[in-house]
Amino acid sequence: MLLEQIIPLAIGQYEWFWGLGLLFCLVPLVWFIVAILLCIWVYRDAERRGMNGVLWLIIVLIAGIIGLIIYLIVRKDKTSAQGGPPPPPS
Amino acid sequence: MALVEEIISVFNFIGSLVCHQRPDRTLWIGGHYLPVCARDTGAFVGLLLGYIMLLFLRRKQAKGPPNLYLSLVMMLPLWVDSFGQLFGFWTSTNYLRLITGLLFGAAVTPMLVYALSLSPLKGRIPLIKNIGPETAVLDDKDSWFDAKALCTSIALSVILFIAIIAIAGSEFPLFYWTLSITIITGIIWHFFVLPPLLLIVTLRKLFRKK
Repeated sequence: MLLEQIIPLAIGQYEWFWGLGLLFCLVPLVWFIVAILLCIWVYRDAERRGMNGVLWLIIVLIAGIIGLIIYLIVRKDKTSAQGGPPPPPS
Repeated sequence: MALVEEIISVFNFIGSLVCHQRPDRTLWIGGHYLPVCARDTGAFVGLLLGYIMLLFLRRKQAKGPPNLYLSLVMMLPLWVDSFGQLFGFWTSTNYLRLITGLLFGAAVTPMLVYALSLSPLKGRIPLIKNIGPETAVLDDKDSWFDAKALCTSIALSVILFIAIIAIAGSEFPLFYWTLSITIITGIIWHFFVLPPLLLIVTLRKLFRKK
């Protein structure tokens, strides 16, 4: 729907500017790929740290960058997820 | 005069690609409506403010992410205001849209630059490679853009907010051009340069590997 409005506008009103409208089609695609990669990273990172990967994936999917920041704040340290560092030799 | 009108219509066209441009939600400055709404004006001016802050206040040797708590505090108002309005809890005002946009934009820039510095494309993206951290380590507690820097961004966002509301409604064209050029530069960089650049750099990296 949006593209139907943008492309005729770009081509009809500013002939020399039509490329911008087409370039704009790339934008959602690139940010969609970035969002998917980010969600995969959050899922894998959460699972590696002993957290609920699916839950965090959904939160980041819904809340976007806000969800990502909340995840980065609350995520467990790798060492505590693995039960802490080994005790020093006595 | 015709050229000026032509440039303004090009600005409005570029703005229309990313914004609804509703007149009741758009600021009138220097005898014209800005190319984007009040919230987007705040966001794009905030993004530019973020880049300027990065130039002066980033800690080059630090590896940790920007202060997460303050980043969240700066981003949440826009989120709450947008969704509150979307779900009909309240109707926002242009001033509220402007300040929430400014804070959001100023907080997003350090996060964006840091995230790109963490990616495998690190060092290949112009501008980002110059202002990003030398080494980014997400678990590092030594923040590359710390609370003090973000507090300065908040203070400057508030000053910019006051300046913009002071000039809103004025007929002096310089104000329109200053803000419009900032906004259009922000749109072109974040929507028309950065995403294709990311795509090209990624494809080049993939093909070189093969």
